[in-house]
Amino acid sequence: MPSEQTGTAHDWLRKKRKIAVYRPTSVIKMESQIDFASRIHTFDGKRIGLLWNGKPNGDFFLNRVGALLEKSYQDTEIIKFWEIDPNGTAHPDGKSDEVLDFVARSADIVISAQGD
Amino acid sequence: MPVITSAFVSLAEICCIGHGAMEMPFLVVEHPLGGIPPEDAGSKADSVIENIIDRATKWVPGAGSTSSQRAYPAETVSVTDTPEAVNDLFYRNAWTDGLPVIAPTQERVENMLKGTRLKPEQIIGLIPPRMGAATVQVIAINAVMAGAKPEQLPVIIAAIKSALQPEVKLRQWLTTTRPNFVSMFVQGPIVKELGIHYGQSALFPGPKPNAAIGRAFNLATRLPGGVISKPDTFGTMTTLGVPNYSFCLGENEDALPEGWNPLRVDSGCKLEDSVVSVFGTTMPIMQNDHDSTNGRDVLISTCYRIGGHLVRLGGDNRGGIVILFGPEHADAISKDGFSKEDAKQFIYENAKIPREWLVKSGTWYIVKEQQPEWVKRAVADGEPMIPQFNSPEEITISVAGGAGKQSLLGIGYINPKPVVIERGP
Repeated sequence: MPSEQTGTAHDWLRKKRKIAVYRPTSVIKMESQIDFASRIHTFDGKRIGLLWNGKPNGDFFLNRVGALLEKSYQDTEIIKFWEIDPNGTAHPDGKSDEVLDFVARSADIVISAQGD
Repeated sequence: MPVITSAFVSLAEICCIGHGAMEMPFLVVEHPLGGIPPEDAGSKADSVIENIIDRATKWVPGAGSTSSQRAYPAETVSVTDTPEAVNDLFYRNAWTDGLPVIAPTQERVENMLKGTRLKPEQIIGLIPPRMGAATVQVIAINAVMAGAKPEQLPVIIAAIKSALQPEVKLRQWLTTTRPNFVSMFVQGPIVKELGIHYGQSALFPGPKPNAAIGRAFNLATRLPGGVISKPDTFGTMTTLGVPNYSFCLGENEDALPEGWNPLRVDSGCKLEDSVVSVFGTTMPIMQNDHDSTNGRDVLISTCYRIGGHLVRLGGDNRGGIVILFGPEHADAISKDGFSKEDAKQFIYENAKIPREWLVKSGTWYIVKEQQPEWVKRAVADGEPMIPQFNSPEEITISVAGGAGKQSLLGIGYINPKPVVIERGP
């Protein structure tokens, strides 16, 4: 039938033809480029900050990390931020810059534990 | 140096990129840390301590940034001109919610953009966690894919603006393990102008613009935000998720009891404004009350329903509830002499949870530090019943739906300020 023949030819042409479609994901636009903190070469003599996000057992994990580092290195200071400000450091809603600034000033290196 | 569990690696990588770090010296321990004996969690530190030391002392940041990438115009991809080929491409790249999409060609996207006065290059915001740039054009692309129409585009744009308000905490909704999702509540004259359903079965799938508008909003947030779920990439860590392809409805102003303001007026907008609010909530909870013959009893059953579910989610902007009363429940409450403010006050005073339910809720360990001092004291003092809300302002009330003795409770965060919809040309 003519209509079927037309349809078949149309389909055949479409399968040969390419179209351009937009990617829907967009590009990543950071508000600012991250600056990494200066790195350390040893834990000796360092203030080691432990930052817990409040999820169960993260504190036990970090406690053990702190104990192991304290045992292996000399003159370390272990800072458990959750003991200083339990709510603020785990849930810095609306004041994350302030909390991060405090954490950065208080320690030479910060180890955080998060996830479930 | 972040330490994460193995299940969260994909989300961590997306978050790092979104924060401007193409690489990050995070350290991975075997999942899980929570839900196991504390000593086992501690011993996981023994297994990775050498790696922690190594990464902390030897890792050097490399170069690499995507900040110079151009957000407009969006990139294009060439594909065979058949629906099957287009959808195969979008499915393989996780550029879909799993349902077929309409190919976002230049012609269709340009037509969609006729629905707004905004310039296509304007960036409405950056969508977490990937921080993809939601340009007006990208929103239009996603709107085309969802099957939306140009006149609906301003609603979708306003919803994205609403979702990106800092107090909304969109990142938390999109990435959490909870079965959260974001819903749209459209209010004002535009509801009837666009035919958005607000009455009987308003949320039920069917031939109504609610479906495409809500779907477009979801696509336009999830895809730029990297909130996708496929075998090797998880931009969300929701344990089960919810099948939320679209959740959009209008306020049923026709059924508002006398003296009850439309929600936008409660929020400080003008009556003539058309606005959209977004709510982050868990799955809606059925408030099924056939027994009550007066409004006070409807409010009491509502309080019991809340008491069984809310369990104080946390601190600021986290312990809220959105109550969409069905018209019959709203009418009964009003006829019993309750204004909307009275109803909020009643629920605030009467929605309580037994102390044991709270401390055994399974989340108390996480949220206890976020509670106000009076709650901490009440728990410590052994008060038998603990109020669910910190203030009546944490309760949002409106009316939607049609006949029946049903209402919906959306437990989540506090009602954000609605965003006024900027009409198209």
